[in-house]
Amino acid sequence: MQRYILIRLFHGLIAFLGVTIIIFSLVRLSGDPLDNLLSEEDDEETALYVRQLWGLDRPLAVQYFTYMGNVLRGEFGPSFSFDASAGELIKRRLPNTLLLGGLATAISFPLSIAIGVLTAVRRDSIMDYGGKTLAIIGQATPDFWIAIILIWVFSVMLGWLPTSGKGDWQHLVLPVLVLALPSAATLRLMRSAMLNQLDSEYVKLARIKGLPEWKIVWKHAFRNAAIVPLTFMSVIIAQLVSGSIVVETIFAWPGMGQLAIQAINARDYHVVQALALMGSTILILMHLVTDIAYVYADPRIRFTRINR
Amino acid sequence: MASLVDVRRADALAQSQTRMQRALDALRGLPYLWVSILLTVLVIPGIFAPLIAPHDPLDGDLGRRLKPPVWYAEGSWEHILGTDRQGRDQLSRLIYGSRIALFVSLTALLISATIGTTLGLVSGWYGGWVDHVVQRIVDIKASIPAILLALIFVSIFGQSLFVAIAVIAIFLWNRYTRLIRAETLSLRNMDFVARARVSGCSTTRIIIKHVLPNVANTLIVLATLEVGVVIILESTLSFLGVGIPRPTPAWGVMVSDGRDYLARAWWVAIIPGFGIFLTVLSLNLFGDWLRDKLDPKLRQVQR
Repeated sequence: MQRYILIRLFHGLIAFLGVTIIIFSLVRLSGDPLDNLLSEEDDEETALYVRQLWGLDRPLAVQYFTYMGNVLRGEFGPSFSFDASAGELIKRRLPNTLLLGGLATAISFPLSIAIGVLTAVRRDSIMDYGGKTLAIIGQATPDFWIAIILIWVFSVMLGWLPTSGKGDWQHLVLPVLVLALPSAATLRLMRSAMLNQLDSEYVKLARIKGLPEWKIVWKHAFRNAAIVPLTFMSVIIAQLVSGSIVVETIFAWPGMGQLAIQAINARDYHVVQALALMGSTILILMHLVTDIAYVYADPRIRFTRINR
Repeated sequence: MASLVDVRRADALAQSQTRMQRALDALRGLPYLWVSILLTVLVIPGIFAPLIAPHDPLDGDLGRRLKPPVWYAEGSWEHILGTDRQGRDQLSRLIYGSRIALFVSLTALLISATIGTTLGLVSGWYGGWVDHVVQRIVDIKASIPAILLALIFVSIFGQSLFVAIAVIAIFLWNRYTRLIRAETLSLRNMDFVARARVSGCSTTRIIIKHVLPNVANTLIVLATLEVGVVIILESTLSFLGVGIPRPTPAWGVMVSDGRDYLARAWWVAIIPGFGIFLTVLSLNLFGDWLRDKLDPKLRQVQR
């Protein structure tokens, strides 16, 4: 168990190192970073000073560690298009992104788990078929198109909700809805996990024993099936990271996703790198957390040697 | 007296008949609705775009901007699906958009399938530290979200068709690796592989001639199911301005172009999105059918 967690931590560390090395080398590939740090008027002396300040006269390996040291201290370099450092910008935008993402997860996750269980219990009912059809349609629909249809219907035609921006609760409805939709995939996952459990021997035994059906469903089958959406959490977080870029761009929501697109349009390298590092770190942490949570949730894994 | 040759000939004949039979059976079961939608929205316009498109997709006429589709009173057969803000014919742009979608998905798939399959074969076959290295590469890949990867690439190499293809290819190889690795692991210990080795085959030859054909079905099914993923990813990147550059008529770019005209001209943004939806829907359902036909054990794979 401890060994497993240690191995996973080690793998997470390797992934983190890999990602930072890739981002660092891509950045260096893009040309002399000095060009970005200096303005037109700077003379040779300033150039030399800046070069030494950022350690650009040292070997690449040393530069990498300098870079990592800065990153770990939250210093991602200055932004060229905003009047703040990249780290400062992220700090300012983070709460907005967390608000959207948090609300979307808080609504969609419990809801899709509940509906997943219900459609499994009422297998082949109208609700079950409805869920399946919606899942097939949802898989084929790009997020940005759904967002635009919703704006078209609810903002432009009906005039019920604002098209974009940040303000009162009405500004939250459409972005949260669009962000929450992809995680409805959990619903189908939960359904099939529940069906597996409901088919099992111990459920049959519980029925023969005369347990009430709600107890069988929620106390026995659900507990064992719940591990599946748990492992799906990291996939959902990955979707949230990508989804928030799309949603924040469309709804002009002042979060990190919108920042990413603004930064790319302004060729603001430092901000782009900082955001890429942030996004990757979140994913690595999520993979770790889900893997470890998985072991806690399923005792069988604790006693087997794990190597994926 | 029936010679051995005759028997063989009869055998071959019977085999070819069953093969014909099988081909006919497959044809009968084909999901015609999805296949014909695919042909009409993706394949045929993609291949024959210059012959079918009524107008030049890039040539605008500001006097004819935001014309409605033909079913409106002000619409005309000249522009069946209306025009965009620069007066470019929407139908022609959609048709050329199919060409982009087709080209991007085929090339990106080819690259990602090659990378993914190679890594899967190698790590499944050799195991040990090779496998560990490949798994760590998969970890690293899984840690960078697709759109952020696209952002970094575009910030360095600029926005172009090839950067978009590279990003998509880099993003999609890992699923091949996982499945092919698992299959290679089980194939490695089979009798026919041992016999090939005894008869003096080199490792490369065994992998290419004996293992690869046995994972081909998985590969085909997975690739088919991935086309939809590629098209959605490509259109999302293009929509955000980090995929196919303007003025190329990619579907995602068209939706983005129409965003600000929803009140006056909804068709500019909504119709291309419907094109994406229809294409991906029929691709996915066709892929489902193919999977059930060729490789039912893949049913557990999430899309």
